[in-house]
Amino acid sequence: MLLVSFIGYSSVKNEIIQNNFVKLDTIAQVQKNHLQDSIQNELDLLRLFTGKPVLRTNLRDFNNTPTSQLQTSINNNLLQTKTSVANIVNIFVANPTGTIVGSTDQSILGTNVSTEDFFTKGIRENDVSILKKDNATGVLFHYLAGPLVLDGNIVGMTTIVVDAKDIISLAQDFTGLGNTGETLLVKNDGNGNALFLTPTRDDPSAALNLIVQRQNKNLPSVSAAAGVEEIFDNAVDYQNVPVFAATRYIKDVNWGIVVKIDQDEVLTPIKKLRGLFLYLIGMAGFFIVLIGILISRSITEPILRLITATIKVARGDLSQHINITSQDEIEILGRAFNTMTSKLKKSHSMLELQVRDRTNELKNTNIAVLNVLEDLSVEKSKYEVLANDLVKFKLALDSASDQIIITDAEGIVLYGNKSIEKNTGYKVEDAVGKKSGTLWKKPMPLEYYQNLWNTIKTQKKMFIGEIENRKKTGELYTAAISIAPVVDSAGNVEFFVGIERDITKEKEIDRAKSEFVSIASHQLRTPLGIMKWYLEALENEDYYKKSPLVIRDYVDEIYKSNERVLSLVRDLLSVSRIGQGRVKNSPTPADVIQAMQEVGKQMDIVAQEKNVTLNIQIQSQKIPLVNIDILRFHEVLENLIGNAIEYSFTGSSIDVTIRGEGDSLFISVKDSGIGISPSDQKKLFTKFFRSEKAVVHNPKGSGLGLYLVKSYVEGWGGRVAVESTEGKGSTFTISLPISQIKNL
Amino acid sequence: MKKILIVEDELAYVRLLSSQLTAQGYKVIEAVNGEKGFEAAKTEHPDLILLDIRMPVMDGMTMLGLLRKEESVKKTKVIMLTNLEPDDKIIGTIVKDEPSYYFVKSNIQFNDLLKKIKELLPE
Repeated sequence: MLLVSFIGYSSVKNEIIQNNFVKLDTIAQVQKNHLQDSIQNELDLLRLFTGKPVLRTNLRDFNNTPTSQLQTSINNNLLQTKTSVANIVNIFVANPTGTIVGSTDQSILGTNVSTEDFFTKGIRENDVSILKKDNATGVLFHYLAGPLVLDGNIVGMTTIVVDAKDIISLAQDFTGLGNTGETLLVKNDGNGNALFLTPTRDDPSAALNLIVQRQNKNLPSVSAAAGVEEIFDNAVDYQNVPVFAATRYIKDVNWGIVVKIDQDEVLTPIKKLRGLFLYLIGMAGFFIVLIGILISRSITEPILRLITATIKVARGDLSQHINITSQDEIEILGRAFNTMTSKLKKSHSMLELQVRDRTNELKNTNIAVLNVLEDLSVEKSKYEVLANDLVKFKLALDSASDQIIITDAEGIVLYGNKSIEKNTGYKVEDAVGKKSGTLWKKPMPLEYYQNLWNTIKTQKKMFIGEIENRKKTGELYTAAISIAPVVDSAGNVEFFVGIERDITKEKEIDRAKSEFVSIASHQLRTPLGIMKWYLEALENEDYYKKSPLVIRDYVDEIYKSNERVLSLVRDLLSVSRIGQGRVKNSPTPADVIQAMQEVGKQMDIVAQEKNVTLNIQIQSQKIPLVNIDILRFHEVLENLIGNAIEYSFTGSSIDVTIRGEGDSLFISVKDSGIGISPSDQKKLFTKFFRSEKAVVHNPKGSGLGLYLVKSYVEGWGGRVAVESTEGKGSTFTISLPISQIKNL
Repeated sequence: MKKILIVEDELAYVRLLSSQLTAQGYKVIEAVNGEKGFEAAKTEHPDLILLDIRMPVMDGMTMLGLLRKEESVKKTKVIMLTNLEPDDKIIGTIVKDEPSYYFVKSNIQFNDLLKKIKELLPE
């Protein structure tokens, strides 16, 4: 910047100086032209004048014969010319001896000017131009002289005296010359010195006065007077002031023009300029800084805008549009940026569309997933609820006093509740993973377990029964068990759930009760039995037979009553024995036919007493020995046949049949007695039931007989059924599976 | 004269049986429990023993067992006379140890018993 400004300054300075020179030169040239023109005009005038033949003729004539007429004519010529041209002060002509013979100024008529330079020159030379100063007035006049020649003879000379103010005015024209500049007219005085023709700016009397010695070679005035046309860039003037000057030379009159100006004056502006420049530099510096800032801003601002916009774009705002009109590369950048962002925007839109599509897909998937998740969470909630319930159930199971075991389909223990340990002393962990029952060491007979397994596994039915198990201490205990198979939807067994309750206590109690009943009954039997035999003995005695009726009646009554009680006791004992469910030893093979025959014989007596006919039919020859409790079997037969006899009418008959068919034994007892009502049939086999009719017919019955029959028969795996019509009779049928008769 | 040993703790039964059987012409020996009965059996060698089951000191089944092991008396006929209902165990024993019979006193008539005795002790 500084360099530039310095260069600028220098160049400006040079420029100014050059300009100055140019100006000077131009002025010089102009002045020269002017002057030259002026002079030329004047000289032309002179020539014209001197060329006028009339004048010359007159003059010759006058010279020959000076007449006033001629003089007047000459004067008129002169006057004519004078008035036609401005500035002419005087025109006169002189004869060859130098006497003015004609003049527009009458005052000089007759004067001799032969010593005058204008005469001496003008008589011989044409175009003589001399500046003269009127010493009195100081006014400058321009003498233009030239010979008047007629026919080769000089007849005189003429001089036009012009007011040199035109010329002077040149010198007075300071246009463009500032305050110190001036235009000088100088003439060589013959010695090489410069004679100032015009007044100087400072010295109005310098005209034709001042002489500048020629020693001062580089004085422009001297040079000009010498005919040098030049520019002087480092000259001094007649006053030794450094000046710039330009010179011109007018050959016609041998005048030199010097246009000069003080260097100072020229340079002052430069100085000023320099100062200005310095100031400007300073200002420029400041402005440079300022402008620098501004420019830089104007550059950086768009750049910053670009950057900002770029960052925004990077951040995702694709709507950025830059408007840079700096008409430079930044604008191009800006445009490029815009193009880029719009392209980005497009591809971004496309991308967005794609993303939107994907997002929608994802959303749908997401919704689907959410739905599934919702369903799942609903399921989960359900399961949680179930799980909670399960927890409750588990808690319940754990706290149940019954033992609960869950096994898989093969009987391997999966779960056991806490009561197992409580009841048996075995830990649950010891049981889990093993086959159920291993710990308990199975004190039951093998076939019990076989039957159990068969029921739950093969038949997939619930098994309910009683079992004896062994505690860890070795102690046996009785438990009521129920084992249920859990089947899946296909019907396959998945689990077994076994519940076991220690009923040892209850059993004890039951046993105690039964014991008590047993013992009581037995105890009862003793006195009853005694009474029975004593009464019997009594009835056999002679004295009884001879005793009065009333005594015999009473004895009979006592005997009967005794029998009733005995019967009741018997039945009670049977019932209590059934209730005790005594485990039996190996059954005895029995011949049912023989049993039937025996009972038949026995009951025959009873039947006869009642006047009832007993028919026993053995309808199968070969019935295999059956594993039954033969005494109980007797009891069954006795009960049924006894009932038949009891409730038959006198004179009727009873049909008893026994036959074997396939793997079943069928026994039927048919009577035509009082029959049983349908409602009574329903309760017939229950403990102590006696229909009203039966009570009426036989008040002695205990109501236990058929209960016993049913219990025994069903205990053997058989069935008992009745068909009856009131007033017509009853048929009792027993079916027994021969192969599986168990003992009671 | 046939000898009948009655092993019974209930005196009422003993008195009746004794008088009735004596009236029938039998010689009757009495024992109130199994122990005494066994001694009596060994001593008296009865033709028939009427044996109750439930007795103090030694019950009838035990005595029967001893009896059947005792050489001199092991063939003696025995009628179990009891009020106990027979269960399989008893029946088994009875059947095994013939000649033994079983009667529930309160179930039979005395006459039937008498008949049986006469059957077992033919003249």
